[in-house]
Amino acid sequence: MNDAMVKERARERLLSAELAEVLEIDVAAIDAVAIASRKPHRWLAAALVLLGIAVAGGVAWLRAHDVHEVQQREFDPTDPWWERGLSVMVGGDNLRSANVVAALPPESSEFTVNQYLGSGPDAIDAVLARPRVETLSWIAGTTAYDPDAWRRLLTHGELRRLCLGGPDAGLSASQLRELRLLPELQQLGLVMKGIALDADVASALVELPKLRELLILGNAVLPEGLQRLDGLPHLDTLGLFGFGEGDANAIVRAASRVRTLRALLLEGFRSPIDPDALASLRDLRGLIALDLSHCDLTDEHLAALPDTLQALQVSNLQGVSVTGLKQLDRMRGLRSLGVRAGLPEKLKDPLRRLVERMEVECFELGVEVPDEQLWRTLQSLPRLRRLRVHDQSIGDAMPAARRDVFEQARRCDHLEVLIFRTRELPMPDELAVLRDHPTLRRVRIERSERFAAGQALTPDHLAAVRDAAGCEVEVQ
Amino acid sequence: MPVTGTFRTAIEVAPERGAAPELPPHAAMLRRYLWVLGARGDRIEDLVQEAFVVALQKGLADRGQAAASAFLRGVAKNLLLRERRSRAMRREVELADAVWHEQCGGDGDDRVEALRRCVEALPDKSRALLTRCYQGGAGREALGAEFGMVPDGIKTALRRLRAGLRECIERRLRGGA
Repeated sequence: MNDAMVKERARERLLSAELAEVLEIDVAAIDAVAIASRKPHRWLAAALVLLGIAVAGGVAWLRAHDVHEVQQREFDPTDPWWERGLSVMVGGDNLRSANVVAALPPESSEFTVNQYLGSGPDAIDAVLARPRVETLSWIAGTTAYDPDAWRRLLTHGELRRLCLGGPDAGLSASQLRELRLLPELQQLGLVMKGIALDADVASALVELPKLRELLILGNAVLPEGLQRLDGLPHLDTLGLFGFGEGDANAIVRAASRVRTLRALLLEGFRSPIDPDALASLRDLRGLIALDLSHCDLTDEHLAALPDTLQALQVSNLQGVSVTGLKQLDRMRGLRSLGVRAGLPEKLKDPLRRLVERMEVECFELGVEVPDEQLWRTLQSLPRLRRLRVHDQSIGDAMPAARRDVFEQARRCDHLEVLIFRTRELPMPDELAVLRDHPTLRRVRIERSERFAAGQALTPDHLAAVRDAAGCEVEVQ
Repeated sequence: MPVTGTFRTAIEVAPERGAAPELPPHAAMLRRYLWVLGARGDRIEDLVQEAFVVALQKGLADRGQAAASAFLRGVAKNLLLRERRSRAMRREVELADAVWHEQCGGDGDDRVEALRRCVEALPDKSRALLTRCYQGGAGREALGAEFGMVPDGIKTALRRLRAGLRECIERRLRGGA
């Protein structure tokens, strides 16, 4: 209310008080009746009308388009999905037999059946007989997928994440087209030489309208197939790993035409990528996360990267100079930076200074655990919320190395998520130092490829670890 | 407004103590003033009492009615401001205080007298509408039926009546009929 309105209201209240005295009644009774009705400001009325129109329009639009299709992924600002990598890469223990499946808790909905690694046919039968299968990694053995089991797979309409493949899986485009019968399918992985991404396969995939994430691992990728994925309206994450002999430049250029992409993970080029090809990714206006692990990079590559990235993972930086690394300063929106491998000695200090200047929210050093100087830098960062550390220690050194990591992480005052990649599950007492951390919400333990055999995760161990850390603990 | 509990005690005990028998006549003015300042109906009596208690403690002897009245308003305003935490609400109190000074000057009793005469001079139907509406507590529907008007007409008539009374007070204070 402006001054004039306040004063007018006071004048009205004065008259009410005087009338109350003259009529010998309670002033509140007068005020309830008499104060002139206040008309809302015209601009307020106009704003309300516009808001109403906008809400009505939004509701109508959501009704016209399937609500589920327009919903974004679950978004946790302290742990964004594009930093978590590909969720379709299902972990978990390989279920070798029906007995093992039967022993799982009834609420289990994630299953890994790798027939190539020894799962018997009864294991997949037992999984597909369960009422709720939301996530399934099913790698075929030395024969193609059993047609009967395949048909039963297609009856699980609740399936959201599916990973298929195997050297002899014999997947075809027509089989993939049948995945249309899985209406909730959002994440799909085609792995281990199961099938090549050519034009036919891509045409089948674009018939899965809810697909958001696609992983092609160890399969040939043809540019004309990749390009056709532009027909998928909600594909936001694409991972191309180890695709062999293909023309890397043509593949990157084809990826730059899939306009819906927000996260692109490229790994395992056998031929080098030209900076020009990398520059084509600037056409992807919505791209915010780029993973170039295991790609040899130079100053020219870093100069060619899109300026709009929020998350960048690099490795093999032997060809990058100190000046070249400084070019990353131009990425004003970069909040997450990771160096997975191949950090030369000459770049250690420049990287530390870069991290300091950029005040990153998420940092990953995959080569080794940070040295003392880097830890001090990380601990001084005012916005460091997420930290990913790879424990490379082995043998007797492992417990001590892990304790040191947790102790150093404890001193990162603003840390909210600690991601720890390790070969061995930490013991509860090792995590206990994190218990009193003021902001830590989650510890994510990622089991590395060389995870110690026989280290099955038991519910008791997980409960003890959670209790010791005093926060949420996930094991992947 | 009914005089309640502790307030009654304060103003009744005061004369017995011989401290300030001149205070009770200011009560009506203080109620009006606090209402203008935006005090809630259920707080007014307590604020009036608290103002009197402060006045009793300070002593108002030999100050005269006008000074005592101004002193009490100052105390009442400060008591109300103490309850208003936000800057916006305190600003509203200050603006309302300015309105009081602009409209009433001192205690504002002359305005009440002017209004009393204005009400007496109203046409019968208007005065009946005023008293039925405010004293009787009748709703607009009932009043509409009683006065042969639509409910919105009652609202309009009341608004015009109030505007007319405000003009009448101004006119009388300026010396007009």
